[in-house]
Amino acid sequence: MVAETELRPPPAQPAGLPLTIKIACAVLVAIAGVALLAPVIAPYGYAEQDLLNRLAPPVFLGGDMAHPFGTDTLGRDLLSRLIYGARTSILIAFVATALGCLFGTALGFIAAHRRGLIEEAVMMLVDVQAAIPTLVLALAVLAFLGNSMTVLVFLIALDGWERYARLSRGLVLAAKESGYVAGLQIIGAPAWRVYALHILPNVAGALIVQATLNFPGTIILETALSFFGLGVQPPQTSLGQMLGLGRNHLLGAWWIAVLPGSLIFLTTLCACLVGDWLRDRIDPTLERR
Amino acid sequence: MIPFLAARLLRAALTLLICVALAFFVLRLSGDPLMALLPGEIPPDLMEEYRVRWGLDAPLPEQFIRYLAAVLRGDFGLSLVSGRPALAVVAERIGPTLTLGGVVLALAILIGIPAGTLAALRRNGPTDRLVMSAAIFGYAMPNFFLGLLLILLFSLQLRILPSSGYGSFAHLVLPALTLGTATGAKLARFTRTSMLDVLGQPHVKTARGKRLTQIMVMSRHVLPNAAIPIITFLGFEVGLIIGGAVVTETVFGWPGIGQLLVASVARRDLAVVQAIVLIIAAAVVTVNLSVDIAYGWIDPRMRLSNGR
Repeated sequence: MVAETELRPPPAQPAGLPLTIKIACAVLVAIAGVALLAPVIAPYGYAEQDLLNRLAPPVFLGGDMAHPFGTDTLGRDLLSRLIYGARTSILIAFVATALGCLFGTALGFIAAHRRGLIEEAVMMLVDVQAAIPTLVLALAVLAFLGNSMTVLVFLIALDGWERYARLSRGLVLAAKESGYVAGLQIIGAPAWRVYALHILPNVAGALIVQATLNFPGTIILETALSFFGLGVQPPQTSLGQMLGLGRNHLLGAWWIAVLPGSLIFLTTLCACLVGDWLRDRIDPTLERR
Repeated sequence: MIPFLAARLLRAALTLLICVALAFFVLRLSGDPLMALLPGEIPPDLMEEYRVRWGLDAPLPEQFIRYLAAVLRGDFGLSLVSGRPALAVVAERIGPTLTLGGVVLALAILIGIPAGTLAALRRNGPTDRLVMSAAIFGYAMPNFFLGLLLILLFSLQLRILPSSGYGSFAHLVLPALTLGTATGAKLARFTRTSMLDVLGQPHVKTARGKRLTQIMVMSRHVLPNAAIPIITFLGFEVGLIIGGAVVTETVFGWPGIGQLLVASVARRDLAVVQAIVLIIAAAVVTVNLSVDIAYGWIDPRMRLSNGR
């Protein structure tokens, strides 16, 4: 087995980024840029109504340039709402991913450090989280706690924390067996120093890859909740909420639903491509999903 | 084998107990269910009467113990909306969800596993690229959006399939396609990886070296080894299929537990929501327990290592 791996030539490292990944990165940067600059770029406010100009068709269906993507049932400019909706959706997904990663990683480190009962308790929580689909849990809790942005973000952060916990626990346990940690312990480095300054930088790459792989799922969770009307509440807007509203007008004005849906899909697709590529590049042993 | 079984069972039971506790406390502590249920102007004595009638007057730990005992008897309380037992309300919705979930699982297995295997055998070739491109599209596509696109195409444009409802085969096609796409795509990706892992093993090279036919190598040496991670993956996937069913059932008006969950959440029907969450948790835990046991049975190494 060992000889086998030694004989195999190292995988060829391509000179630059593959074209697909370049495009995916460019699209993600463009979407993030537009989302960040929403107040500057958007031609109208996201709640600005023009009741005389309701359900105007987009330019490609014979509309005019005043509303390039048309208007919705309240005469709100769809282009502006797409820009603001992307801002909300991406911001929530980003904050939630970061929170979930921090929480899960912290628990994973604690479990690997303390072992014993505390480790069992953490792994039990991981099992519980895996037993209740996040969407089901989030639906139940949101309806009973009511809709606030804080609750929403924390609930979405729950999605995937158990993966970071499992991953970081395994990585830390492996690191503790390795020579460099033993060496640090022998020269008397305090535990926190070993974890924060030596183990963490070593496992950060794998955690970042996991976060990238998790990001599309996080976007889909937020948009699904908002699609049900249980996520982001009006007058705030998100891509999922726009899709949910557009669902009632599929027959007469399909673009109201298809435009935000396509933007969600474009974002998740590019994030998936980049995540897959990073995983193959940085850590080919990571669990595939 | 016995200690392994006992440890697994204990773990599953403990997981479920924590789920029951979480469901109870989160849902109960989050607000007074009577406030949401009864109209605003209610005389306090009448309010009190309702409180006693629904057992909402006892201290919380006592309510929990009583709740736990009742859950073990299969009594999830009465639906606050219809007044019928919550379990009965949920039970009549399980059939449609099982139908949808079963068809989706079958569809995903029938398409995902052959596609993934083919991609692994033709690694980096055009077939592999095609299968994996299709898979990443299916994987990244949010199922509520896919559902709307299918309705737009098949129900509103071509007018060949119903956009919602339940009862005939035609009603099943669009929901199954919506939910099956993501599951099949994920399975294809995972199958490809598992196959590549096994295909690179020395024993497969030996088999090839013995000049066994491709069919012999695949059926005797590759598939059985790749099957173990794939079965584990399918076990984990059951929870995700249920989560996806919530969305799909709501989009297509499919009368399963997912649609009931969304409706009950909107009506704040505590008992029904709790019953659904617990039934889903029990289903997921049971499936994973069976996978673990099957795994321990197939692979003796698992029995010794506590299988983590």
